[in-house]
Amino acid sequence: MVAFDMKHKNVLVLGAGIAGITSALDIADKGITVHLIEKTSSIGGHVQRFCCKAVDDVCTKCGACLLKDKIDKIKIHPNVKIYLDSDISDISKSKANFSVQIKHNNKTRSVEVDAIVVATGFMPFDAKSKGRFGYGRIPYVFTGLNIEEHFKEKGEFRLLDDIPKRAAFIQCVGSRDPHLNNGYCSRVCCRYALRLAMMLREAFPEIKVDIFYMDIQSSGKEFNMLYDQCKDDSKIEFIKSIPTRAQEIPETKSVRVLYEDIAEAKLVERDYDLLVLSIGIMPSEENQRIEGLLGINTDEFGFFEPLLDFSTRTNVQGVFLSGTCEGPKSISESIRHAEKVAIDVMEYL
Amino acid sequence: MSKRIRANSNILIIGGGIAGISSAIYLGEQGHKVTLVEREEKLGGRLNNLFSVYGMDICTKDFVSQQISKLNKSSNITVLTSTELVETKGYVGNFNSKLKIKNSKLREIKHGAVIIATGIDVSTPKMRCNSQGIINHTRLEDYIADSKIRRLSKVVFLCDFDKEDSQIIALSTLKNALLLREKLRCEVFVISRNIKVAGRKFEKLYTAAREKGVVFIKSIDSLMKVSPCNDLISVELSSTGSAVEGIDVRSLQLICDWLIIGESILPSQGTEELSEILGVERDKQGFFQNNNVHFMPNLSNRKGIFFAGACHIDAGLNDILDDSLTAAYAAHNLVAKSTIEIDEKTAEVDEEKCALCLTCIRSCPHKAVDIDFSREASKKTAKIIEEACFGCGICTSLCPSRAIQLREYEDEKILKLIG
Repeated sequence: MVAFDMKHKNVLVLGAGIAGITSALDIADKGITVHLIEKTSSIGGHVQRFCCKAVDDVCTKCGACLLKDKIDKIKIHPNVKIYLDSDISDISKSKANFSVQIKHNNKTRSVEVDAIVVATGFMPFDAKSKGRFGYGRIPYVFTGLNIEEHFKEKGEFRLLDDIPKRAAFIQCVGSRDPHLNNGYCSRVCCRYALRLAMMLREAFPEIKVDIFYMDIQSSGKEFNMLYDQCKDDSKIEFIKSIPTRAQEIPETKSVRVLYEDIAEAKLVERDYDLLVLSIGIMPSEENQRIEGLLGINTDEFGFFEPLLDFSTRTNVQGVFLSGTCEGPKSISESIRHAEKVAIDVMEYL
Repeated sequence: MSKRIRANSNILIIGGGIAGISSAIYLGEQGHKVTLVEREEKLGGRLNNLFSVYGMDICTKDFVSQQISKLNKSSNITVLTSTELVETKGYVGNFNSKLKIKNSKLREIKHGAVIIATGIDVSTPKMRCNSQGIINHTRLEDYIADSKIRRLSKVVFLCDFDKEDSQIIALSTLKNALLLREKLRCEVFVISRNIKVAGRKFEKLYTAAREKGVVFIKSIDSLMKVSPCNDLISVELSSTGSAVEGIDVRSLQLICDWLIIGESILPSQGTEELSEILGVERDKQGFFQNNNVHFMPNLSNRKGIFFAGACHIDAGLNDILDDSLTAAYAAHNLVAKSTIEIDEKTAEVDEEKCALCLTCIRSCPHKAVDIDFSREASKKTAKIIEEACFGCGICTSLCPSRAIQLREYEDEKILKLIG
């Protein structure tokens, strides 16, 4: 067996979302001291806001439930030091070590670490910047995240006063959009939208759901089955077209969506009681600052760029990427990626 | 204090494709004695049939031979080709397996963990029309590798033909469409329901293909007719409903040299037999099924048995490599110390109450209950194999004589809690 003496090693993990927590746990389990830095006042990141998306009490494997276990574990882990409401203000590299200044309430303290794992996550796309869908203006327009947060909190769908009869999802809001320079697919929106569509169907048996899409990203075997299930449901309609605008109809308390029926090559209007925008994953606004501090490269969209063939290593030795700061990922993909980081860090040390 | 049992740190890997090879290399480096079993005469698996893979700069064959030479250099790894697994007994930490080597007698090995990396098989969907020019992706890769492609003027890729294409085929379509367009300057059409771009830089590949002049036709309700047309193939589409500029898409006829159809992906031949030998579960489509897809991405329903690569996930090569590493890492973590920690919360049989009705043995999803053969014939009872128990409580709730209790969750304790 290769002998490891990891007791004296220190690793800094930046960001305590699902990726940061997973990486930190795996590394700490090897006896390495982990400094886990989180800028907000709680650990868990975005996943805290996601609801369980079981349909008919059958798990659809969204992974939102995996966070709690990990949080419980990490809070009592003897090798993990958690710094809440903290941020890094300066980093200097000497030989193989990094000297990191951690800022907390205007006080700074310095730690010496052997490696840094960047797990700063993502930023949900701001649906208001796609003004034509009326988010923030029309009361019947929500984002997928709104729905998740609402369901997580209430355990049911009470977004509107009346029972919705027609609902629609618009996919790729903020993703695959050259006008916004977001020329990438966010990977998660098709999956959560279809899960949410099934949940709406379960909650309101009479509801009809339309899904406006470009291409359904049916990756993964699990998802393909969910997609088939949706296609078999006669009350879910897939419409291959992205609407051009949404307009409020106050008299009927509904929102009118204008889109092109591509097969017939004509414009069509449809009214909905509920419109859900499937917002995508954007690079975190922090990325630029961290790029400056650490000197790691970002790609054209603002995600951190890994070295080719090494999906967690960066151009700076000793700095690793974990989770969605490297590019859009689902919860399970983030966990897988974060575990890979732990392996790579161990190899590096 | 938790209990520990002795465990063998050797590891058996089934499947000598890229997933098995990568897992073996990692485990060899970590000091484990690894036995890599491959059914065919040659290592490398499906990658041997591919010319190039998106996301990798070097030719696939070179990459495979690099990895194989790494494998051969390691003194910790024994490679057995033309070999199949015929029997496995025992539990995590102490498995006993019999291997059948072609033209040789059975060999027995002891090992602490298993990694299953059996990959996939592919099958080409049947078309009503038969023609030399209708080829699948594997053939296309062959032609590209041999550089024996005659002048082509037009090729059509047909995607999502009878069901949605897998990630591997979807990516291969984008990559090869661009390759044919750039290298041979022929006209390339891709007919598809959903362009799959969910992955790092895949959208960029799609954009690049369009910029180079690959025409994508997103058919919605395509009524398609494929027929031979002299030496060529005619593909007729009606009401494709695609907005391609300058082409009347409502009735479109493409006469092409090649019609390339994507293979569908099947569980590797022998998956069923292997699942029975090892007692691991498969999903509805027959692929191996993780115990919990998210929490333990590589673990099967039995402790000590892991899945790696395409036999359980549908993904591109980079993800397959990552997955093999995480599987190897999980196996390494489990048996590296030559002992295994036993969970405190395992089930326990009350020997006085047990009537050996076999309910628990049949219902345990983790194959962690067996008959206690150490007892006399008339006094045999069920026995929980502690190291293999997940503590799920299924046997506890099903036992008709309440002879099984889950430690820490005994009936009395629960009753007290709920008053």
